[in-house]
Amino acid sequence: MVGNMLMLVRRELWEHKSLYYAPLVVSALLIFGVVVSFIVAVFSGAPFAAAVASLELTGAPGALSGGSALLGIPWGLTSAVVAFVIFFYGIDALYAERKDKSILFWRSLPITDTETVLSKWLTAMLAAPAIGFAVSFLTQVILLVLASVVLLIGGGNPLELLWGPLPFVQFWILTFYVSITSALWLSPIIAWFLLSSAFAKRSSLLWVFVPIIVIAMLEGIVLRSNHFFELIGERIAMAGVSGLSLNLAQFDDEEEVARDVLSGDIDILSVMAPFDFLASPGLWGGFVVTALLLAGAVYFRRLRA
Amino acid sequence: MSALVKATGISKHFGAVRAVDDVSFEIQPGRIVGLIGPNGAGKTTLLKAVLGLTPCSGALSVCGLDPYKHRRELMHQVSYVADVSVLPRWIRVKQLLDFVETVHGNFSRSAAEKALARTKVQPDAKVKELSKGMVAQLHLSIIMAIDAKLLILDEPTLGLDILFRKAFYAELLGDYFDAERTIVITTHQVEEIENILTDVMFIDDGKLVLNASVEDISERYTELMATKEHAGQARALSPVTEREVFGKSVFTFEGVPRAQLEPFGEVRTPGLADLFVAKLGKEGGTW
Repeated sequence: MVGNMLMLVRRELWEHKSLYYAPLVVSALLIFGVVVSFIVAVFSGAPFAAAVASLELTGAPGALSGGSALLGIPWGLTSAVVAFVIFFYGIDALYAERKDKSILFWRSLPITDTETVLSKWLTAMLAAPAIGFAVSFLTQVILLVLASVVLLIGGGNPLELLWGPLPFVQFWILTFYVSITSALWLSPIIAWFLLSSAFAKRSSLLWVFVPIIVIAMLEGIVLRSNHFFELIGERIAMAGVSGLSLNLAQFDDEEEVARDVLSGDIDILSVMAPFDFLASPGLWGGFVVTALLLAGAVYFRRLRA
Repeated sequence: MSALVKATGISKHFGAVRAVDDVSFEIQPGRIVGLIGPNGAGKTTLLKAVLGLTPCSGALSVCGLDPYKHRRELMHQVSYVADVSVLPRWIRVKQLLDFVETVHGNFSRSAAEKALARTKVQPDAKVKELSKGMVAQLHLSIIMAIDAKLLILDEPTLGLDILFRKAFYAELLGDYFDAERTIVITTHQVEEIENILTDVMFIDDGKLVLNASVEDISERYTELMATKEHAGQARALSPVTEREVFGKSVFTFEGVPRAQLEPFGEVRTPGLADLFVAKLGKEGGTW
Protein backbone atom coordinates (compact mmCIF):
# COMPACT_ATOMS: atom_id res chain seq x y z
CA MET A 1 0.00 0.00 0.00
CA VAL A 2 2.72 2.45 1.02
CA GLY A 3 4.91 1.04 -1.76
CA ASN A 4 2.12 1.65 -4.24
CA MET A 5 1.70 5.24 -3.06
CA LEU A 6 5.43 5.96 -3.31
CA MET A 7 5.46 4.53 -6.83
CA LEU A 8 2.44 6.62 -7.78
CA VAL A 9 4.16 9.78 -6.55
CA ARG A 10 7.33 8.78 -8.42
CA ARG A 11 5.24 8.42 -11.54
CA GLU A 12 4.02 12.01 -11.07
CA LEU A 13 7.62 13.22 -10.87
CA TRP A 14 8.51 11.27 -14.03
CA GLU A 15 5.64 12.88 -15.87
CA HIS A 16 5.79 16.42 -14.47
CA LYS A 17 9.47 17.22 -14.68
CA SER A 18 8.79 20.92 -14.16
CA LEU A 19 8.23 20.09 -10.49
CA TYR A 20 12.01 19.93 -10.09
CA TYR A 21 13.31 21.50 -13.29
CA ALA A 22 11.67 24.87 -12.64
CA PRO A 23 13.18 25.48 -9.16
CA LEU A 24 16.54 24.09 -10.35
CA VAL A 25 16.64 26.43 -13.35
CA VAL A 26 15.67 29.46 -11.27
CA SER A 27 18.26 28.63 -8.63
CA ALA A 28 20.94 28.13 -11.31
CA LEU A 29 20.10 31.57 -12.72
CA LEU A 30 20.30 33.08 -9.25
CA ILE A 31 23.70 31.51 -8.57
CA PHE A 32 24.91 32.68 -11.96
CA GLY A 33 23.76 36.24 -11.21
CA VAL A 34 25.45 36.25 -7.82
CA VAL A 35 28.69 34.87 -9.28
CA VAL A 36 28.70 37.60 -11.92
CA SER A 37 28.09 40.32 -9.36
CA PHE A 38 30.85 38.94 -7.12
CA ILE A 39 33.31 38.82 -10.00
CA VAL A 40 32.43 42.38 -10.95
CA ALA A 41 32.86 43.43 -7.32
CA VAL A 42 36.19 41.64 -6.86
CA PHE A 43 37.69 43.05 -10.06
CA SER A 44 36.33 46.56 -9.77
CA GLY A 45 39.39 47.99 -8.06
CA ALA A 46 39.16 47.92 -4.33
CA PRO A 47 38.45 44.21 -3.84
CA PHE A 48 37.73 44.02 -0.16
CA ALA A 49 35.64 47.14 0.12
CA ALA A 50 33.62 46.21 -2.94
CA ALA A 51 33.16 42.63 -1.89
CA VAL A 52 32.07 43.59 1.55
CA ALA A 53 29.83 46.26 0.13
CA SER A 54 28.23 43.73 -2.20
CA LEU A 55 27.33 41.69 0.83
CA GLU A 56 26.44 44.73 2.89
CA LEU A 57 28.50 43.21 5.66
CA THR A 58 29.08 46.39 7.58
CA GLY A 59 28.52 45.70 11.19
CA ALA A 60 26.25 43.32 13.01
CA PRO A 61 22.76 44.46 11.94
CA GLY A 62 23.97 44.85 8.37
CA ALA A 63 25.42 41.39 8.45
CA LEU A 64 21.99 40.08 9.14
CA SER A 65 20.41 41.93 6.25
CA GLY A 66 23.24 41.22 3.81
CA GLY A 67 24.01 37.69 4.87
CA SER A 68 20.41 36.79 5.47
CA ALA A 69 19.68 37.81 1.90
CA LEU A 70 21.82 34.81 0.94
CA LEU A 71 19.30 32.69 2.83
CA GLY A 72 16.15 34.66 2.21
CA ILE A 73 16.39 35.27 -1.52
CA PRO A 74 16.83 31.62 -2.56
CA TRP A 75 14.07 30.63 -0.18
CA GLY A 76 11.66 33.29 -1.40
CA LEU A 77 12.43 32.62 -5.02
CA THR A 78 12.08 28.83 -4.89
CA SER A 79 8.90 29.12 -2.83
CA ALA A 80 7.36 31.40 -5.43
CA VAL A 81 8.44 29.11 -8.28
CA VAL A 82 7.16 26.02 -6.48
CA ALA A 83 3.80 27.68 -5.80
CA PHE A 84 3.57 28.54 -9.50
CA VAL A 85 4.54 25.02 -10.55
CA ILE A 86 2.07 23.42 -8.13
CA PHE A 87 -0.71 25.46 -9.69
CA PHE A 88 0.09 24.23 -13.19
CA TYR A 89 0.69 20.71 -11.94
CA GLY A 90 -2.65 20.67 -10.15
CA ILE A 91 -4.72 21.77 -13.13
CA ASP A 92 -2.93 19.27 -15.39
CA ALA A 93 -2.67 16.25 -13.10
CA LEU A 94 -6.04 14.64 -13.82
CA TYR A 95 -6.58 16.31 -17.18
CA ALA A 96 -3.49 15.28 -19.17
CA GLU A 97 -4.11 11.57 -18.60
CA ARG A 98 -7.53 11.91 -20.23
CA LYS A 99 -6.26 14.04 -23.06
CA ASP A 100 -3.56 11.52 -24.04
CA LYS A 101 -5.88 8.60 -23.18
CA SER A 102 -3.25 7.04 -20.93
CA ILE A 103 -5.98 6.89 -18.27
CA LEU A 104 -7.21 3.76 -20.10
CA PHE A 105 -3.88 2.14 -19.39
CA TRP A 106 -3.63 3.33 -15.77
CA ARG A 107 -7.11 2.08 -15.07
CA SER A 108 -6.24 -1.35 -16.44
CA LEU A 109 -3.94 -1.77 -13.45
CA PRO A 110 -5.08 -2.65 -9.93
CA ILE A 111 -5.10 0.90 -8.59
CA THR A 112 -8.23 2.63 -7.34
CA ASP A 113 -9.24 6.11 -8.47
CA THR A 114 -8.96 7.21 -4.85
CA GLU A 115 -5.32 6.07 -4.66
CA THR A 116 -4.52 7.91 -7.87
CA VAL A 117 -6.17 11.16 -6.77
CA LEU A 118 -4.50 10.94 -3.35
CA SER A 119 -1.11 10.38 -4.96
CA LYS A 120 -1.55 13.54 -7.01
CA TRP A 121 -2.66 15.49 -3.97
CA LEU A 122 0.36 14.22 -1.99
CA THR A 123 2.68 15.14 -4.85
CA ALA A 124 1.47 18.73 -4.70
CA MET A 125 1.29 18.82 -0.90
CA LEU A 126 4.53 17.04 0.04
CA ALA A 127 6.78 16.19 -2.89
CA ALA A 128 6.75 19.61 -4.57
CA PRO A 129 7.42 21.63 -1.36
CA ALA A 130 10.11 19.11 -0.32
CA ILE A 131 11.83 19.55 -3.68
CA GLY A 132 11.53 23.32 -3.28
CA PHE A 133 13.06 23.17 0.17
CA ALA A 134 15.92 20.93 -0.98
CA VAL A 135 16.73 23.18 -3.95
CA SER A 136 16.56 26.28 -1.74
CA PHE A 137 18.85 24.62 0.84
CA LEU A 138 21.44 23.67 -1.79
CA THR A 139 21.32 27.15 -3.30
CA GLN A 140 21.81 28.77 0.07
CA VAL A 141 24.82 26.57 0.86
CA ILE A 142 26.37 27.32 -2.53
CA LEU A 143 25.81 31.08 -2.08
CA LEU A 144 27.26 31.02 1.44
CA VAL A 145 30.35 29.20 0.18
CA LEU A 146 30.69 31.70 -2.69
CA ALA A 147 30.36 34.61 -0.28
CA SER A 148 32.98 33.03 1.97
CA VAL A 149 35.37 32.80 -0.96
CA VAL A 150 34.78 36.45 -1.81
CA LEU A 151 35.40 37.46 1.79
CA LEU A 152 38.61 35.40 1.87
CA ILE A 153 39.83 37.06 -1.33
CA GLY A 154 39.09 40.41 0.25
CA GLY A 155 40.99 39.45 3.38
CA GLY A 156 37.99 39.10 5.65
CA ASN A 157 37.20 36.17 7.91
CA PRO A 158 34.02 34.43 6.71
CA LEU A 159 33.60 32.55 9.98
CA GLU A 160 33.51 35.79 11.90
CA LEU A 161 31.62 37.91 9.40
CA LEU A 162 29.21 35.40 7.89
CA TRP A 163 28.86 31.95 9.43
CA GLY A 164 29.15 33.12 13.02
CA PRO A 165 26.46 35.79 13.13
CA LEU A 166 24.04 34.23 10.66
CA PRO A 167 21.26 32.19 12.35
CA PHE A 168 21.11 29.74 9.46
CA VAL A 169 20.12 26.65 11.41
CA GLN A 170 17.13 28.47 12.88
CA PHE A 171 16.33 29.82 9.43
CA TRP A 172 16.27 26.32 7.96
CA ILE A 173 14.12 24.99 10.76
CA LEU A 174 11.72 27.90 10.42
CA THR A 175 11.43 27.70 6.64
CA PHE A 176 10.99 23.93 6.75
CA TYR A 177 8.21 24.41 9.25
CA VAL A 178 6.62 27.13 7.12
CA SER A 179 6.77 24.82 4.06
CA ILE A 180 4.74 22.21 5.90
CA THR A 181 2.22 24.57 7.47
CA SER A 182 1.69 26.49 4.22
CA ALA A 183 1.03 23.28 2.32
CA LEU A 184 -1.42 22.03 4.94
CA TRP A 185 -3.11 25.41 5.02
CA LEU A 186 -3.42 25.53 1.22
CA SER A 187 -4.60 21.93 0.92
CA PRO A 188 -8.19 22.88 -0.08
CA ILE A 189 -6.80 25.13 -2.84
CA ILE A 190 -4.69 22.25 -4.17
CA ALA A 191 -7.72 19.94 -3.96
CA TRP A 192 -9.70 22.51 -5.93
CA PHE A 193 -7.08 22.46 -8.72
CA LEU A 194 -7.36 18.68 -8.83
CA LEU A 195 -11.15 18.77 -8.96
CA SER A 196 -11.02 21.27 -11.82
CA SER A 197 -8.60 19.08 -13.74
CA ALA A 198 -10.74 15.97 -13.15
CA PHE A 199 -13.89 17.80 -14.20
CA ALA A 200 -12.73 19.88 -17.18
CA LYS A 201 -13.61 18.55 -20.59
CA ARG A 202 -11.50 21.09 -22.42
CA SER A 203 -9.73 23.80 -20.46
CA SER A 204 -8.95 23.02 -16.85
CA LEU A 205 -7.47 26.51 -16.50
CA LEU A 206 -10.91 27.94 -17.19
CA TRP A 207 -12.57 25.64 -14.69
CA VAL A 208 -10.25 26.79 -11.92
CA PHE A 209 -11.40 30.38 -12.17
CA VAL A 210 -14.86 30.48 -13.69
CA PRO A 211 -16.79 28.74 -10.86
CA ILE A 212 -15.12 30.95 -8.26
CA ILE A 213 -15.91 34.11 -10.20
CA VAL A 214 -19.50 32.96 -10.78
CA ILE A 215 -20.06 32.16 -7.10
CA ALA A 216 -18.54 35.46 -6.05
CA MET A 217 -20.71 37.33 -8.54
CA LEU A 218 -23.86 35.53 -7.45
CA GLU A 219 -23.04 36.34 -3.86
CA GLY A 220 -22.53 39.97 -4.82
CA ILE A 221 -25.87 40.12 -6.63
CA VAL A 222 -27.98 38.14 -4.19
CA LEU A 223 -26.46 38.94 -0.81
CA ARG A 224 -24.66 42.15 -1.71
CA SER A 225 -21.60 40.88 0.07
CA ASN A 226 -18.14 39.65 -0.88
CA HIS A 227 -17.34 36.99 1.69
CA PHE A 228 -16.48 34.17 -0.71
CA PHE A 229 -13.79 36.15 -2.50
CA GLU A 230 -12.40 37.42 0.78
CA LEU A 231 -12.33 33.91 2.20
CA ILE A 232 -10.25 32.60 -0.69
CA GLY A 233 -8.01 35.68 -0.79
CA GLU A 234 -7.39 35.44 2.92
CA ARG A 235 -6.66 31.71 2.71
CA ILE A 236 -3.98 32.32 0.10
CA ALA A 237 -2.56 35.46 1.69
CA MET A 238 -2.30 33.88 5.12
CA ALA A 239 -0.60 30.67 3.94
CA GLY A 240 2.93 31.68 4.85
CA VAL A 241 2.09 32.87 8.34
CA SER A 242 -0.68 30.39 9.12
CA GLY A 243 1.57 28.38 11.42
CA LEU A 244 3.22 31.38 13.08
CA SER A 245 2.19 33.57 15.94
CA LEU A 246 3.40 37.02 15.03
CA ASN A 247 3.34 39.76 17.54
CA LEU A 248 3.43 42.63 15.09
CA ALA A 249 4.43 45.17 17.74
CA GLN A 250 7.67 43.23 18.02
CA PHE A 251 8.58 44.17 14.50
CA ASP A 252 8.26 47.93 14.68
CA ASP A 253 11.92 48.65 14.31
CA GLU A 254 13.70 46.39 11.85
CA GLU A 255 17.16 47.45 12.93
CA GLU A 256 16.36 46.66 16.50
CA VAL A 257 14.86 43.28 15.62
CA ALA A 258 17.94 42.43 13.63
CA ARG A 259 20.18 43.34 16.53
CA ASP A 260 18.06 41.35 18.93
CA VAL A 261 18.09 38.27 16.72
CA LEU A 262 21.84 38.41 16.41
CA SER A 263 22.42 38.97 20.07
CA GLY A 264 20.09 36.13 20.88
CA ASP A 265 17.50 38.32 22.59
CA ILE A 266 14.92 37.20 20.05
CA ASP A 267 14.74 33.54 19.17
CA ILE A 268 13.33 33.48 15.64
CA LEU A 269 11.99 29.99 16.27
CA SER A 270 9.70 31.40 18.97
CA VAL A 271 7.33 32.59 16.23
CA MET A 272 6.48 28.98 15.37
CA ALA A 273 3.16 28.06 16.93
CA PRO A 274 2.50 24.45 15.94
CA PHE A 275 -0.08 23.79 18.65
CA ASP A 276 -2.11 26.89 17.86
CA PHE A 277 -1.87 25.89 14.21
CA LEU A 278 -3.10 22.36 14.88
CA ALA A 279 -5.92 23.70 17.00
CA SER A 280 -7.05 26.33 14.51
CA PRO A 281 -10.53 25.87 13.02
CA GLY A 282 -9.20 27.25 9.73
CA LEU A 283 -6.92 24.25 9.32
CA TRP A 284 -9.59 21.66 10.07
CA GLY A 285 -12.23 23.46 8.06
CA GLY A 286 -9.73 23.36 5.22
CA PHE A 287 -9.32 19.60 5.62
CA VAL A 288 -13.08 19.06 5.46
CA VAL A 289 -13.26 21.10 2.25
CA THR A 290 -10.23 19.19 0.93
CA ALA A 291 -11.94 15.85 1.57
CA LEU A 292 -15.09 16.98 -0.25
CA LEU A 293 -13.18 18.36 -3.23
CA LEU A 294 -10.99 15.25 -3.51
CA ALA A 295 -14.07 13.01 -3.33
CA GLY A 296 -15.44 15.06 -6.24
CA ALA A 297 -12.18 14.57 -8.14
CA VAL A 298 -12.38 10.79 -7.60
CA TYR A 299 -15.99 10.81 -8.79
CA PHE A 300 -15.23 12.73 -11.97
CA ARG A 301 -12.10 10.73 -12.78
CA ARG A 302 -14.25 7.63 -12.75
CA LEU A 303 -17.11 9.25 -14.66
CA ARG A 304 -14.99 10.83 -17.38
CA ALA A 305 -12.82 7.78 -18.06
CA MET B 1 -15.97 -25.68 -12.99
CA SER B 2 -17.92 -22.53 -12.40
CA ALA B 3 -18.16 -19.80 -15.00
CA LEU B 4 -15.49 -17.11 -15.02
CA VAL B 5 -17.88 -14.52 -16.37
CA LYS B 6 -21.57 -14.75 -15.63
CA ALA B 7 -23.84 -12.10 -17.08
CA THR B 8 -27.60 -12.17 -16.57
CA GLY B 9 -29.79 -9.64 -18.31
CA ILE B 10 -27.25 -6.85 -18.44
CA SER B 11 -28.15 -3.61 -20.17
CA LYS B 12 -26.50 -0.27 -20.66
CA HIS B 13 -28.32 2.75 -22.03
CA PHE B 14 -26.87 6.02 -23.20
CA GLY B 15 -29.93 8.22 -23.21
CA ALA B 16 -32.36 6.53 -25.57
CA VAL B 17 -29.64 4.43 -27.20
CA ARG B 18 -29.43 0.86 -25.95
CA ALA B 19 -25.76 0.07 -26.33
CA VAL B 20 -26.19 -3.27 -24.59
CA ASP B 21 -29.70 -4.65 -24.42
CA ASP B 22 -30.56 -7.48 -22.02
CA VAL B 23 -27.55 -9.65 -22.70
CA SER B 24 -26.98 -12.94 -20.86
CA PHE B 25 -24.03 -15.30 -21.26
CA GLU B 26 -21.42 -17.32 -19.44
CA ILE B 27 -17.76 -17.74 -20.21
CA GLN B 28 -16.07 -20.88 -18.89
CA PRO B 29 -12.37 -21.01 -17.95
CA GLY B 30 -9.93 -22.14 -20.60
CA ARG B 31 -11.86 -20.75 -23.58
CA ILE B 32 -10.92 -18.29 -26.30
CA VAL B 33 -14.00 -16.28 -27.10
CA GLY B 34 -14.38 -14.05 -30.13
CA LEU B 35 -16.80 -11.19 -29.58
CA ILE B 36 -17.87 -10.21 -33.05
CA GLY B 37 -20.12 -7.44 -34.27
CA PRO B 38 -20.24 -4.38 -36.48
CA ASN B 39 -19.08 -0.96 -35.32
CA GLY B 40 -21.41 0.44 -32.72
CA ALA B 41 -22.92 -2.97 -31.95
CA GLY B 42 -22.05 -2.64 -28.27
CA LYS B 43 -18.85 -4.74 -28.14
CA THR B 44 -16.75 -2.16 -26.36
CA THR B 45 -19.55 -1.16 -24.00
CA LEU B 46 -20.07 -4.81 -23.07
CA LEU B 47 -16.35 -5.28 -22.42
CA LYS B 48 -16.23 -2.08 -20.38
CA ALA B 49 -19.01 -3.43 -18.19
CA VAL B 50 -17.14 -6.72 -17.76
CA LEU B 51 -14.02 -4.75 -16.77
CA GLY B 52 -15.88 -2.60 -14.27
CA LEU B 53 -15.20 0.57 -16.21
CA THR B 54 -18.84 1.40 -16.61
CA PRO B 55 -21.87 0.59 -14.46
CA CYS B 56 -24.69 -1.43 -16.00
CA SER B 57 -28.02 -2.90 -14.95
CA GLY B 58 -28.51 -6.63 -14.52
CA ALA B 59 -26.34 -9.15 -12.70
CA LEU B 60 -22.69 -9.39 -13.67
CA SER B 61 -19.98 -11.39 -11.98
CA VAL B 62 -16.39 -11.67 -13.17
CA CYS B 63 -14.01 -13.96 -11.26
CA GLY B 64 -16.70 -13.97 -8.58
CA LEU B 65 -16.61 -10.18 -8.21
CA ASP B 66 -18.93 -7.34 -9.09
CA PRO B 67 -16.65 -5.62 -11.58
CA TYR B 68 -17.82 -2.05 -11.05
CA LYS B 69 -17.66 -2.22 -7.27
CA HIS B 70 -14.40 -4.16 -7.05
CA ARG B 71 -12.41 -2.93 -10.02
CA ARG B 72 -9.13 -2.86 -8.09
CA GLU B 73 -9.39 -6.48 -6.89
CA LEU B 74 -10.59 -7.51 -10.31
CA MET B 75 -7.60 -5.93 -12.05
CA HIS B 76 -5.30 -8.33 -10.18
CA GLN B 77 -6.97 -11.21 -12.03
CA VAL B 78 -8.01 -9.58 -15.27
CA SER B 79 -5.80 -7.78 -17.73
CA TYR B 80 -6.85 -6.00 -20.85
CA VAL B 81 -5.79 -3.98 -23.81
CA ALA B 82 -8.38 -1.30 -24.47
CA ASP B 83 -6.54 0.20 -27.38
CA VAL B 84 -2.88 -0.21 -28.18
CA SER B 85 -2.10 3.48 -28.38
CA VAL B 86 -2.90 4.35 -24.75
CA LEU B 87 0.53 4.00 -23.14
CA PRO B 88 1.63 7.38 -21.75
CA ARG B 89 3.98 8.97 -24.24
CA TRP B 90 6.31 10.53 -21.70
CA ILE B 91 7.25 7.34 -19.88
CA ARG B 92 10.41 5.31 -20.39
CA VAL B 93 10.17 1.56 -20.98
CA LYS B 94 12.15 0.87 -17.83
CA GLN B 95 9.94 3.17 -15.75
CA LEU B 96 6.86 1.46 -17.11
CA LEU B 97 8.18 -1.94 -16.03
CA ASP B 98 9.14 -0.53 -12.59
CA PHE B 99 5.66 0.85 -12.18
CA VAL B 100 3.72 -2.24 -13.21
CA GLU B 101 6.03 -4.47 -11.17
CA THR B 102 5.28 -2.44 -8.04
CA VAL B 103 1.53 -2.09 -8.37
CA HIS B 104 0.69 -5.46 -9.92
CA GLY B 105 1.28 -8.55 -7.80
CA ASN B 106 0.84 -10.94 -10.73
CA PHE B 107 3.25 -9.26 -13.12
CA SER B 108 6.41 -11.10 -14.08
CA ARG B 109 9.07 -8.59 -15.01
CA SER B 110 11.38 -11.26 -16.37
CA ALA B 111 8.66 -12.53 -18.70
CA ALA B 112 8.07 -9.00 -20.01
CA GLU B 113 11.80 -8.39 -20.45
CA LYS B 114 12.18 -11.70 -22.26
CA ALA B 115 9.38 -10.76 -24.65
CA LEU B 116 10.84 -7.29 -25.18
CA ALA B 117 14.30 -8.71 -25.87
CA ARG B 118 12.83 -10.23 -29.03
CA THR B 119 11.79 -6.76 -30.22
CA LYS B 120 13.66 -3.58 -31.04
CA VAL B 121 12.23 -1.83 -27.96
CA GLN B 122 15.10 -0.51 -25.81
CA PRO B 123 14.67 -0.21 -22.01
CA ASP B 124 15.81 3.42 -21.98
CA ALA B 125 13.57 4.53 -24.82
CA LYS B 126 10.59 6.76 -24.22
CA VAL B 127 7.24 5.60 -25.53
CA LYS B 128 7.00 8.68 -27.77
CA GLU B 129 10.23 7.64 -29.50
CA LEU B 130 8.79 4.25 -30.47
CA SER B 131 6.95 3.41 -33.67
CA LYS B 132 3.31 2.46 -33.50
CA GLY B 133 4.14 -1.21 -33.88
CA MET B 134 6.76 -1.04 -31.13
CA VAL B 135 4.32 0.61 -28.73
CA ALA B 136 1.90 -2.22 -29.41
CA GLN B 137 4.65 -4.77 -28.81
CA LEU B 138 5.53 -3.06 -25.54
CA HIS B 139 1.95 -2.93 -24.34
CA LEU B 140 1.21 -6.52 -25.31
CA SER B 141 4.49 -7.71 -23.74
CA ILE B 142 3.41 -6.16 -20.46
CA ILE B 143 -0.15 -7.45 -20.62
CA MET B 144 0.99 -10.96 -21.50
CA ALA B 145 3.48 -10.98 -18.61
CA ILE B 146 0.57 -10.59 -16.20
CA ASP B 147 -0.64 -13.89 -14.83
CA ALA B 148 -4.32 -13.17 -15.35
CA LYS B 149 -7.29 -15.50 -15.26
CA LEU B 150 -9.02 -13.43 -17.91
CA LEU B 151 -7.37 -11.51 -20.73
CA ILE B 152 -9.50 -9.11 -22.72
CA LEU B 153 -8.22 -7.83 -26.03
CA ASP B 154 -10.26 -5.10 -27.69
CA GLU B 155 -8.90 -4.70 -31.21
CA PRO B 156 -5.38 -5.58 -30.06
CA THR B 157 -3.81 -5.40 -33.50
CA LEU B 158 -5.65 -2.42 -34.97
CA GLY B 159 -3.46 -0.54 -37.41
CA LEU B 160 -0.60 -3.04 -37.27
CA ASP B 161 0.85 -4.85 -40.24
CA ILE B 162 0.06 -8.40 -41.16
CA LEU B 163 3.42 -9.85 -40.05
CA PHE B 164 3.02 -8.43 -36.59
CA ARG B 165 -0.56 -9.63 -36.35
CA LYS B 166 0.38 -13.18 -37.33
CA ALA B 167 3.27 -13.23 -34.86
CA PHE B 168 1.09 -11.84 -32.10
CA TYR B 169 -1.62 -14.46 -32.45
CA ALA B 170 0.97 -17.22 -32.71
CA GLU B 171 2.51 -16.04 -29.46
CA LEU B 172 -0.85 -15.64 -27.79
CA LEU B 173 -1.76 -19.21 -28.60
CA GLY B 174 1.68 -20.75 -28.17
CA ASP B 175 3.21 -19.07 -25.13
CA TYR B 176 0.37 -17.43 -23.30
CA PHE B 177 -2.72 -19.53 -23.52
CA ASP B 178 -3.25 -22.55 -21.32
CA ALA B 179 -6.18 -24.41 -19.76
CA GLU B 180 -6.33 -22.04 -16.78
CA ARG B 181 -6.59 -18.92 -18.85
CA THR B 182 -9.44 -17.37 -20.70
CA ILE B 183 -9.22 -14.88 -23.51
CA VAL B 184 -11.89 -12.64 -24.99
CA ILE B 185 -10.99 -10.96 -28.29
CA THR B 186 -12.73 -8.46 -30.50
CA THR B 187 -11.30 -7.62 -33.86
CA HIS B 188 -12.22 -6.38 -37.31
CA GLN B 189 -10.02 -8.98 -38.94
CA VAL B 190 -12.17 -11.91 -37.96
CA GLU B 191 -10.49 -14.20 -40.51
CA GLU B 192 -7.24 -13.93 -38.57
CA ILE B 193 -8.65 -15.19 -35.32
CA GLU B 194 -11.27 -17.65 -36.39
CA ASN B 195 -8.81 -20.53 -36.28
CA ILE B 196 -7.86 -19.90 -32.67
CA LEU B 197 -11.32 -19.36 -31.22
CA THR B 198 -13.15 -21.97 -29.18
CA ASP B 199 -16.32 -19.91 -28.84
CA VAL B 200 -18.06 -17.21 -30.78
CA MET B 201 -20.43 -14.50 -29.65
CA PHE B 202 -22.16 -12.37 -32.27
CA ILE B 203 -23.50 -9.07 -31.10
CA ASP B 204 -25.62 -6.65 -33.07
CA ASP B 205 -27.61 -3.64 -31.95
CA GLY B 206 -26.71 -4.43 -28.36
CA LYS B 207 -28.23 -7.90 -28.56
CA LEU B 208 -26.52 -11.25 -28.52
CA VAL B 209 -27.54 -12.97 -31.76
CA LEU B 210 -25.35 -16.05 -31.47
CA ASN B 211 -23.40 -17.60 -28.63
CA ALA B 212 -21.95 -20.97 -29.49
CA SER B 213 -18.81 -23.03 -29.42
CA VAL B 214 -16.96 -23.55 -32.66
CA GLU B 215 -17.88 -27.28 -32.61
CA ASP B 216 -21.54 -26.38 -32.27
CA ILE B 217 -21.29 -24.03 -35.20
CA SER B 218 -19.75 -26.64 -37.47
CA GLU B 219 -22.51 -29.03 -36.48
CA ARG B 220 -25.32 -26.56 -36.86
CA TYR B 221 -24.29 -24.57 -39.90
CA THR B 222 -23.40 -25.79 -43.34
CA GLU B 223 -22.47 -23.88 -46.43
CA LEU B 224 -23.38 -25.38 -49.74
CA MET B 225 -22.03 -24.28 -53.10
CA ALA B 226 -24.69 -25.77 -55.28
CA THR B 227 -24.33 -26.69 -58.92
CA LYS B 228 -26.82 -24.94 -61.23
CA GLU B 229 -29.14 -27.91 -61.70
CA HIS B 230 -29.43 -28.53 -57.92
CA ALA B 231 -29.96 -24.95 -56.83
CA GLY B 232 -33.71 -25.33 -56.87
CA GLN B 233 -33.64 -28.45 -54.70
CA ALA B 234 -31.30 -26.76 -52.25
CA ARG B 235 -33.58 -23.72 -52.07
CA ALA B 236 -36.44 -26.02 -51.14
CA LEU B 237 -34.61 -26.94 -47.88
CA SER B 238 -35.10 -23.32 -46.72
CA PRO B 239 -31.55 -21.98 -46.39
CA VAL B 240 -30.83 -19.08 -44.06
CA THR B 241 -29.18 -17.13 -46.88
CA GLU B 242 -28.37 -17.39 -50.50
CA ARG B 243 -25.73 -15.51 -52.45
CA GLU B 244 -24.11 -15.65 -55.85
CA VAL B 245 -20.40 -16.39 -56.21
CA PHE B 246 -18.94 -16.78 -59.73
CA GLY B 247 -22.31 -17.67 -61.08
CA LYS B 248 -22.90 -20.38 -58.52
CA SER B 249 -25.42 -20.24 -55.71
CA VAL B 250 -24.02 -20.39 -52.21
CA PHE B 251 -26.48 -21.30 -49.45
CA THR B 252 -26.08 -21.30 -45.71
CA PHE B 253 -28.18 -23.84 -43.85
CA GLU B 254 -28.93 -24.11 -40.20
CA GLY B 255 -29.73 -27.51 -38.73
CA VAL B 256 -29.81 -29.40 -42.02
CA PRO B 257 -27.70 -32.61 -41.95
CA ARG B 258 -24.63 -32.53 -44.19
CA ALA B 259 -25.48 -35.86 -45.77
CA GLN B 260 -28.69 -34.36 -47.09
CA LEU B 261 -26.82 -31.50 -48.76
CA GLU B 262 -23.82 -33.34 -50.16
CA PRO B 263 -25.56 -34.52 -53.36
CA PHE B 264 -26.24 -30.89 -54.37
CA GLY B 265 -22.63 -29.68 -54.52
CA GLU B 266 -19.66 -28.74 -52.36
CA VAL B 267 -20.33 -28.70 -48.62
CA ARG B 268 -18.25 -27.00 -45.91
CA THR B 269 -18.47 -25.15 -42.61
CA PRO B 270 -19.09 -21.46 -43.27
CA GLY B 271 -16.46 -18.91 -42.32
CA LEU B 272 -17.32 -16.64 -39.42
CA ALA B 273 -17.60 -13.61 -41.66
CA ASP B 274 -20.08 -15.37 -43.94
CA LEU B 275 -21.92 -16.81 -40.99
CA PHE B 276 -22.19 -13.40 -39.42
CA VAL B 277 -23.66 -11.96 -42.60
CA ALA B 278 -26.01 -14.93 -42.82
CA LYS B 279 -27.08 -14.64 -39.22
CA LEU B 280 -27.76 -10.95 -39.39
CA GLY B 281 -29.14 -10.94 -42.92
CA LYS B 282 -26.79 -8.14 -43.83
CA GLU B 283 -25.06 -7.73 -47.11
CA GLY B 284 -21.59 -6.30 -46.81
CA GLY B 285 -21.66 -4.02 -43.85
CA THR B 286 -18.71 -2.94 -41.80
CA TRP B 287 -16.85 -5.16 -39.42
